[in-house]
Amino acid sequence: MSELLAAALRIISDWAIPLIAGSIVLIALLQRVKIYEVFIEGAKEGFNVGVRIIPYLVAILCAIAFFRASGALDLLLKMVAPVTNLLGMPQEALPMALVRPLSGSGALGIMSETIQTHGPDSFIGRVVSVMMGSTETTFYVLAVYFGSVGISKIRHAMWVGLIANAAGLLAAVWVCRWIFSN
Amino acid sequence: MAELQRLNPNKNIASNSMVTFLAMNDSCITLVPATVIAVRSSAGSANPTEIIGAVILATAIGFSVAIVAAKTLQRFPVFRIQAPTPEAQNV
Repeated sequence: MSELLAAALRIISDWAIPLIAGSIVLIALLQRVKIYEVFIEGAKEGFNVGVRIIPYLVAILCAIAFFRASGALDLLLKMVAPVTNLLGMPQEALPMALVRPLSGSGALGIMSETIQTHGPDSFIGRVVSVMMGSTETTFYVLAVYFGSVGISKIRHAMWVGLIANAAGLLAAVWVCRWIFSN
Repeated sequence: MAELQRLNPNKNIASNSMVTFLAMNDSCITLVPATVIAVRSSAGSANPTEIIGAVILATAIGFSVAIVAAKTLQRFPVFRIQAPTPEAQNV
């Protein structure tokens, strides 16, 4: 049963891109949507949002840069290592797991570096790839979404985001163990 | 988010729906992680897209946990909305 599911996931991996790209065009044609015009309209809207969120982004990105440059991130890495080892997270994937909620570009850098060092088809290389794909940059999302409507009291949003991140990161390790074990 | 803000009685405090919406975004179901595939491809992977299935499954797990977490934490007294809503003031 689990063998079957793993095989199904591999087939999905192979066909996802052509299927999605094809179905977007197909559905647009069927509904007689003018793809190009609609795309341009959406892109214009995106630009306006981009300008509105700049101050929030500057604040968050600065704070994160301080956190990294001051060495606080390295300290945190050393502190949490015993716990994450227990949860089955490979030591090599730990920097990725910690940086992912803080900085999207930072995580991308760590992922590229890890893939270069260990190889894209190694277990570690796959784990960091799945981690990158299965989680969001929580603090960036908080700043962008709440910034766009002017919310300053975010209540439990940060904790929920971090829990979501932790779940996604651990799920990445476990799913990789299961699918790529052979 | 703008639509949710229209329904929100306290304009500077996040509503429960907003946090749940954000939780869904934090773990957004990624169908095609394009950047990841590009990096893997340029690093010489034999099959750059082989991780898509794993990504979808891992996101689905994260997504479920996120929604449960949002629904659970919103009941905690620490996270209750402090300011009176306009309705409460009128009563």
